[in-house]
Amino acid sequence: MAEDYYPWGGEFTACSPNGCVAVVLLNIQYTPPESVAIYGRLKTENIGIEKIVANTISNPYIRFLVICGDDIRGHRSGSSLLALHKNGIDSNHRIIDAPGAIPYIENLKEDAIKRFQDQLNIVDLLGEKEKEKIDKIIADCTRKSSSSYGEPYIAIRIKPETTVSLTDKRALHSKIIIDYMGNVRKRGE
Amino acid sequence: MVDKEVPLIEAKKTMEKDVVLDPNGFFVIEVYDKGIRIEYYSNVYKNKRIVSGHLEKVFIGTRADALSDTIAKHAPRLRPEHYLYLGRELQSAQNAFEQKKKYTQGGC
Repeated sequence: MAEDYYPWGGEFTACSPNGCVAVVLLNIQYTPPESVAIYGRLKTENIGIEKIVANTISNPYIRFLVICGDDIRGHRSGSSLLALHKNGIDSNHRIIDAPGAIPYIENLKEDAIKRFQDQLNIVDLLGEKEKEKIDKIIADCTRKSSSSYGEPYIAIRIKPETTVSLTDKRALHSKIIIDYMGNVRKRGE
Repeated sequence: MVDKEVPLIEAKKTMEKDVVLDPNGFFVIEVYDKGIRIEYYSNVYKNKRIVSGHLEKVFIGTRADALSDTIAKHAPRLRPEHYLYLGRELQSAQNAFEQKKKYTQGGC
């Protein structure tokens, strides 16, 4: 199930498939309630942010993105994620006004970022670490429960490789085997 | 009388400041409930500095040996120390997966 909703994958926990809240955990020890759709840690200001975007817009039921905990030192990933939602990226793929060291978005198209900005309402709890307060805000978002955004947006899909095994002996029929030159090596029996 | 002399070399860890990043990309290794997942990225440079990566391939499996063989086949031309680093990390990832422990990818 999780693979269908969140095609890029990654280190996150999928909970309620039709939940409307996704939770981004920064520097915080906190486990969100089971009512949320998905939660996970954000570490890096480049690929980490890309995964959050891809794995939220793929589930149109997610309408709120709660970002909580202290920001990641050096990376400033939480602030960079807020900047992406507010400002988007420039022509060099850099998140506009992001404070992180290398906040570059290289695996997503601008349409995906636009969809992220439109589909998700950001709940900025940067610096907030109090469980009761975060739980309450998540409950408030869940109560608002706006409708599905529409079709899922699949920014990236991991496609299983189809492998064809070629050996020197190829069976065309259970009783006929030809070699790689096309000569019949075994027939009948 | 000695027919042949062979050098004996003592192991020495390369200091972090001397580690050369692989121009052919980097890997992100994660352990999840069904196994080990590895993302292979080619480097993205800005002003001659690696700032991110383009996702090229994803590998999944449960065993370090199978993953090592598969990565060597599908991600050729990496630096030798990069392959060796991957071998070490994949074994750690397999141990974490089998023992249901948390895995955090280590540096080189």
